[in-house]
Amino acid sequence: MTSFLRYIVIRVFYFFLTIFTAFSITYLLLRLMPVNAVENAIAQITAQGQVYDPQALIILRRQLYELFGLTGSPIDQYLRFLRSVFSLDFGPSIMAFPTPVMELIHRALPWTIGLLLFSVIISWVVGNILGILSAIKEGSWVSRILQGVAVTLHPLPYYVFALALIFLFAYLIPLFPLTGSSVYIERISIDVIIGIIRNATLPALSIIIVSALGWWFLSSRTLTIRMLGEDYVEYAILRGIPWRRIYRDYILKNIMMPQITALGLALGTVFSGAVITEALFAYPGLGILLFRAVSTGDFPTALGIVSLSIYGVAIGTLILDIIYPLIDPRVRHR
Amino acid sequence: MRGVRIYRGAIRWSLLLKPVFSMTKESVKFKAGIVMLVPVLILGLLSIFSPIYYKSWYFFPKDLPPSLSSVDLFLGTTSNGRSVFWATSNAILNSLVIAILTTLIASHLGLFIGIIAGYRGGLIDRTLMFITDSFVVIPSLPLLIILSMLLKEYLTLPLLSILISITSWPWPARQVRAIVVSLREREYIPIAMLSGLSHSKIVFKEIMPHLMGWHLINATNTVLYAIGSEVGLSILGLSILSEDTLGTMIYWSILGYGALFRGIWWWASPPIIITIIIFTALYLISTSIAEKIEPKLRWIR
Amino acid sequence: MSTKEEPLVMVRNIVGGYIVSGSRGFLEAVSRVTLDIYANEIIGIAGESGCGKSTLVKIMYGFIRKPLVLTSGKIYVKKDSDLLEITSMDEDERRKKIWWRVLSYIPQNSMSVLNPVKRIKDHFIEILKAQGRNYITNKDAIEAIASYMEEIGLPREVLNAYPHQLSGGMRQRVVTSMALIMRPRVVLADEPTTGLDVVVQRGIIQNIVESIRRLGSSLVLVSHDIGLHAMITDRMAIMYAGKIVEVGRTIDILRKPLHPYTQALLESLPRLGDKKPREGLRGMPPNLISPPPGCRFHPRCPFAMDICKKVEPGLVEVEPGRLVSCYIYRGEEHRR
Repeated sequence: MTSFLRYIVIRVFYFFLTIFTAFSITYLLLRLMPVNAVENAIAQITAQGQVYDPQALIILRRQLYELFGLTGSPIDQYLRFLRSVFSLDFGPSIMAFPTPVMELIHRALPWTIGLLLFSVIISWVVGNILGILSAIKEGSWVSRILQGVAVTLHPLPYYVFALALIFLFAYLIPLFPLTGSSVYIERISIDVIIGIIRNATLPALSIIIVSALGWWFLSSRTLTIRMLGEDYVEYAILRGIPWRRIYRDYILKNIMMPQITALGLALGTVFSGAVITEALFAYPGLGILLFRAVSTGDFPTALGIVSLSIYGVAIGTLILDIIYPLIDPRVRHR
Repeated sequence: MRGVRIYRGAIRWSLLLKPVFSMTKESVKFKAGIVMLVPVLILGLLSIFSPIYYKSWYFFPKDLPPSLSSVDLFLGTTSNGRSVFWATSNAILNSLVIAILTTLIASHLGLFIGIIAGYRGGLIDRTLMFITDSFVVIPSLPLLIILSMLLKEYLTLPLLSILISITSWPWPARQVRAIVVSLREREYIPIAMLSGLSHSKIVFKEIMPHLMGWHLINATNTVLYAIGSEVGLSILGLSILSEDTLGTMIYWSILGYGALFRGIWWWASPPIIITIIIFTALYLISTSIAEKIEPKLRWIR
Repeated sequence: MSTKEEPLVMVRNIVGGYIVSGSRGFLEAVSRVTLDIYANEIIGIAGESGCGKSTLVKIMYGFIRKPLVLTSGKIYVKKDSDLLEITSMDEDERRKKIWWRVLSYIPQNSMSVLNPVKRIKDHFIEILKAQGRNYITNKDAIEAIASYMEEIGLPREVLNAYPHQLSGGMRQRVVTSMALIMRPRVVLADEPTTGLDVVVQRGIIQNIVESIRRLGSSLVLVSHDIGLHAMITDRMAIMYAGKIVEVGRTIDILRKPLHPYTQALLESLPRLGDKKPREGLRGMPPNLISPPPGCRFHPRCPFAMDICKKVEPGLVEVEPGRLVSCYIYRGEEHRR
């Protein structure tokens, strides 16, 4: 088992290394911007036409300078940036000053995670089933129709498809709210649950339909077709093994590995596209938070959300790397 | 004299693309993609003829539904009294310009880095790939969002393209490098080296032809990605809101003026529909080229 | 009352081939092949790559899936005291009645025929279950398999391994033992040793032959390696361009090859002490989508006569047990 332990340690090390580099690059890019982020932020706030107590502005300015790491030597700034990013402390938000960024994020995070988990897992299951069936019934008209649909849906980002959905279902058939009616989860009641469902349906559908009929369908179909041509499947047929067993033990088992890998990765990468989709539907998750952060020039909050997404992707990959050897015996014995 | 050689080299390069095109002419996917793309392109090019007044607000009565009375009113008017038709036409052109600019930067940057990394190998390879991978880890859209947030005032077409390029160059770089590495192992590269061919000649003559097909695919995908990013940014209000692009039209119509609330569907639907068409068309083209140059994929019907 | 007379497998006028994509035609890989397999014999099918021997053996087994098509012909298999016609059965029937029990198959690419995510013992259990032995609990099954493996000379530990943990030679042995586990009457082996190094090859082949002899089964060995045939086969059938051109006892063919192709084939083999430079045949095997008229070998045959270019010679028994398809030997009018 010690070699496995060593493997985990190496992977964790890489995880930190990757995050570190990613954040450093982000920092570099930010510093390269010919813009004073603080002045920018303050200008945007004051441009909103709200009146701020001058005293509060001075404090804000100082805090922002600290947050953006614009005080002290370049090394100090860099270290401060790293510290805030690694300790997940982004200071106070601007749009809800002085509520800290992390608290805003905490409020919105469960909504986003719920939506993501639900959508990704369902689209994975549905997409895989459809894809495998389509490959088995190769040539039938159902298979061909699905393929045509998949090709159209696959390249679309979730939010582009969401636009089409909005057009169809919010306008033509006004079933769902166009812009979110924010639901406050005071207590669990039927109303609240219905509210959640109404809010979440369209965003979830955008993700599910595009993912399931797009990527998952196509990839599982391709994998199944390739699997059907594999030597060991042919050998199983030769040995007289019934098809039901072949589907289960040969095709499914061998497809699961890449598909589970992809599932893990998807949980990380769906995040970015989903965030914008949420914003579109005013779904009370990180999406709307980001939207408000952008429109109020609330840079710390935006940075917080972006940092979270970096963590998301990196953690997703890490978990995957750890789980994978447990599933694939070939990798296990390396 | 150098100039002439470069010119000839460029012609030779573009000629390399010809076999790729002729190969794909038979493909149904390719034809479907082109058939979808051409009308959109024509519509975009029509914007050259846009009348001077198309940008002025309230030139026409606002919120007019489409009518066949004139070209201007063909798709109705916006809530600002502008012709949706001309706005759409310009939007197509602007979005495509952004996308093409991004592609020129990003896919060539990726090509360049990929070739160097793949061909040289060793420390250079590892360093370049390390940098590339670190970029890959950063989710592109969020990064774009922060960067455009900061540069909101200074955002122009070229600047937006540069920003999008920053997030899209790693992917072609990795791909190109992988191909170059696999090519390098094939027999004729070491033979070329041993026979004294200079490195740059080897790259141009032996490696480039193989890469051209993939370069085209990467370019097409980058265009897709750029358009998608632009629309994504627009939804958050981070694009160039003073110009007409597919993204900004969507922003203003749906989010700015609540067009769908008020039933002004003719303002919101053209950009959405055209975006979807462009996506599908370019995707078909991209996969049809991929099927042709990677025969293994071909039998997957 | 000769016990040897009734063949176990009778191949009659089999014509089969591959549908070439783009409707460019039909590649006839096997053209009117007639062959008998008897009990307790090792018969080799020899020929160069592309001559149709693998296709023939697939058809014999009844494994006919697109793009492989059986155009015409019949194959009979003797099961206990019945004579079954495989060619009239569908795959289900073949699977239930013939596959693995009467006829067994050792495929060509033993490296990749094992499921990478299943242990070896599960492969065996699969077979047993598929053959209807599911009243055996897994433990009994494993015990039975383990002792069977030891009979063959495979260590027990192999059972718990995954395919990638075994060497190529091991995998081939596993595949061989799988083929024999239901004690079939005839084993069809398609190039079982290709791709392995020579030392391993010898071990595998000896292993196969021993197991076959112990069971009292027959072996049909497909290989392009004449040396292999010389080593273990009792009889040989030489194929060229989809047709069988010569059949007979291996020793006889080696000593005195009759068909010009066989002669050229044997000529090309290096022999100890013979320092003459080897000459190959001129030309290439014909295109099987549109093969040449008459005898398919005539374009390359040094003895080609006029009639060879027009009419195909059939297989004719020129001596007891010796068949040749060539006009040179058509003096006697013995027909089979």
